[in-house]
Amino acid sequence: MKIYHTLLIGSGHTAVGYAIAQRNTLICEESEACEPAFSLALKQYRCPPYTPQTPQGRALLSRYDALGLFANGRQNLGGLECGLCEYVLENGIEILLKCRVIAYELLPDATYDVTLLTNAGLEYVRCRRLLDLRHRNAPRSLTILFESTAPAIDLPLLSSLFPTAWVEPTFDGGYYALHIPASPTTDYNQHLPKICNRWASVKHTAKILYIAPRYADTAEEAELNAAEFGNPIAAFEAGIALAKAEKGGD
Amino acid sequence: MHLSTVENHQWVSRPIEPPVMDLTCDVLCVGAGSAGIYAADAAARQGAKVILLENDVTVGGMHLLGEVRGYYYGFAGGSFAQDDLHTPEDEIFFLSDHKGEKKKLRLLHRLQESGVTLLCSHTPTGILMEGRRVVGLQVFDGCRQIHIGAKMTIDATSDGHLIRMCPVKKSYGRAPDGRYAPFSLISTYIKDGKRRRINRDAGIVDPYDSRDLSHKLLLAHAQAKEHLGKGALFQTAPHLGIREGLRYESEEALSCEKILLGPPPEKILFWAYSDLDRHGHEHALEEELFQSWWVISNLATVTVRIPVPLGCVVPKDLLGIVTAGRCYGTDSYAQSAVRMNRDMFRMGECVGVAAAIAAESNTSLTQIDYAKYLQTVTALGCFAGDEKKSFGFDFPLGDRPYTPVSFVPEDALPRLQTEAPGPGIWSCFLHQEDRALADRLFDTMNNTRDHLYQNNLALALGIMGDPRALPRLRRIVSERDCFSFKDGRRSNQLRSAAAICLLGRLGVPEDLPLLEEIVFEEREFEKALYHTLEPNDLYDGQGRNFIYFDLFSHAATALVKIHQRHELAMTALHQRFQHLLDEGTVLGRIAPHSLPHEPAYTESRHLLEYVIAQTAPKA
Repeated sequence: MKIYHTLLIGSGHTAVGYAIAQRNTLICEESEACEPAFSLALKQYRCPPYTPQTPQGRALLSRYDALGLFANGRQNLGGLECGLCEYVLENGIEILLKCRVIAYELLPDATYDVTLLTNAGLEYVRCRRLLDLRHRNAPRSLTILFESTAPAIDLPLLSSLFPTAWVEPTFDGGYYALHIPASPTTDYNQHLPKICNRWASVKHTAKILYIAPRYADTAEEAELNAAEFGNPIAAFEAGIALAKAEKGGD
Repeated sequence: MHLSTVENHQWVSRPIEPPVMDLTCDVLCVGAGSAGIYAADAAARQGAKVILLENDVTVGGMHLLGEVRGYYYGFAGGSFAQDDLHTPEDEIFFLSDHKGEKKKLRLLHRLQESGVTLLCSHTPTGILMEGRRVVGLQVFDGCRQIHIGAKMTIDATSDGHLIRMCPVKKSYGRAPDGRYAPFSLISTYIKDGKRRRINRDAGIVDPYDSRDLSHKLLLAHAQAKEHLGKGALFQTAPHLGIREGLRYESEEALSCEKILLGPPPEKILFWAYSDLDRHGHEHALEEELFQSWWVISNLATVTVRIPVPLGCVVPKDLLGIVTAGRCYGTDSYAQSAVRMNRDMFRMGECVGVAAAIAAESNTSLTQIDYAKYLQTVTALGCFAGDEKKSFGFDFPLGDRPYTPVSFVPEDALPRLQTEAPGPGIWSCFLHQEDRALADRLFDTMNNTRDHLYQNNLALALGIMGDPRALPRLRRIVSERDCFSFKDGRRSNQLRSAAAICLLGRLGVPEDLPLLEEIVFEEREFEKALYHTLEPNDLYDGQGRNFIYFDLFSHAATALVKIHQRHELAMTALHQRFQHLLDEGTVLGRIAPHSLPHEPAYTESRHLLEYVIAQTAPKA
């Protein structure tokens, strides 16, 4: 059985950055997306400025610029998924989608025997290092995309309905995203009706276009929580830095 | 008690001490998609205690998370109709119809109202069995393994993930080569104030191979970049559009033959409504009955009212488990016809009712009080009471009325004089034993000067298996052009392809040079028929020159069939096919704009690999 150096739980730019710096890494992601925080959870459209520090980071930024993913300080979240998938394929990074880690055991030789649940059923892999990049206990937010024909009126109204949320423009044409904070244990399916009831409690023109099917984490700490970076290149380089730091310690 | 599961792609079963159940219920439904939600809801409304498990964070499956919304086919009838109604509460949504976020809320409310316990992010890892009876599941809840006991378990996972863990015979893909129907990935953008979707076939995937699934997902997402810049919002669906998964041996099976030729079953689970949907252009690799319907008779868009037998959702010789959704006891062709949105809602509802009755009476689904079942589902609107098997041309856009089709010779044969001869050809297939009819067709073919009519008569005679069609069929192939029939609103087949297909069935060794010319002759591709149409019409959604691919694929498989039927040596043929694959020119002609890893190229390559395998020396 192949022994991976690292098994990462949770995909995204941080995981891919780690995997490009530390070969023989397997990424296990339970969703169907390579970058679920941005493409599924719609983490944020505004893209904080960031200057890449590594050749890989600069190359990835060039790739994304060529795809037109950044404009006017905003990022195309679906496009990030395209770009990252292309990058993963071209660089031969191993990733298993629709994969959950359900058990692991530390063996006498200091490797982990890991049980995966995939579409194939139960599968087993071995690795020397197991790293969970998910943020299970981190605060979260739910993103609602909406259209407003009277933003000057609607946005303040929505802000009053959801005082802890923040709003950002997404794309031209009156489309916005409302990010509503939630605790780590909020149940999505019970939360959704409450949000919609509150949305409907006041008259306004804002119409819900789409509600993200999962929460985005919003923790701000560095290192292992680097995936919350609003800038995907920053998250990518955080993954590289993490891998290099571990190599230094190996 | 035994715990059955799938480990490293193998079904395994181990004796275990009966675990303490963390939860128990009457009906345990797995999969909160189109069928599963209504199955769980229906069972609960019949008085069962119901638990619904879902792997994802929320409900909806293909219909919502897969963004399959514009494709709202199937027949009306069932509780879902209430969820489709527009209410004032829907005004907060951008799209206030049966689609989108409104539906998600409706479904959550429905489950809450009926008292279903919904557990998301829960995934079964094993089946608990006592003898041949499923008594519960081992489930991963995100943190640990738990055990849930149930009188009746419903596998509504679409891909049959529970069935894979059961000791029942399973089959995968279509019969000739085990390949699945293409999957799709839906991309969404906003343009001109409207939310638009692109539903594109993204390749073929084995949903039970984690590496292949992951690789194809990455490829599909990467290829979706062609849609960047189309509009303001860009997203790919969170849920993969897999159309086809495994099938299993059930107490009573549905099949292409039963749909097209057979009488209704004694006990009907529900009525479905669809055409025999088939994506891609690999019809040369399909089974003969399907080719007769789709290619030669050009009836791809004919819809059928399909009576689905009750026993087709019951795994053979197993108790305590049934399925709801597109995984059931059927063949690959029938499976493609019973998976439309509304049919899945209704199927789920019917299975839920049946499961609740079975759980209460402690019987198998096939042994329930059928009269009680029928009365219940009729009251729910799932049965109208006047259904009967019928065929017709439907026009979902509403631009033309539904048109019933008759295959009675008096009604159908006049169509052989038109550019839409499909029903006439199929009528002849149904009466292929009628030699007097064959003689009449032959005489007419020899006496008419109507070129179109002659050709259609040749196809009709050919589908009856009459070798007197051969001279005319050869002429069609020799004169080959890009004329296609006009029966349907889409998927109209090339007459030349139909003729080549029939040559494969009836042909003799003297026909080999004609077919070899299409497949191996260097200058074949220079012929005008492969370049006449505008690029938008010539290349299919994946970028294949479909005229060349259709004729090439049918000719290649026809060569193989004639060799096989006449027991001719296949060494030279095998080598010639191998050379084509190695040299690559043909693949470049079929998919000139595709890269080697893209579906148009890989699927064309697969055709060559198939004929190479068919002509390989037997061990």
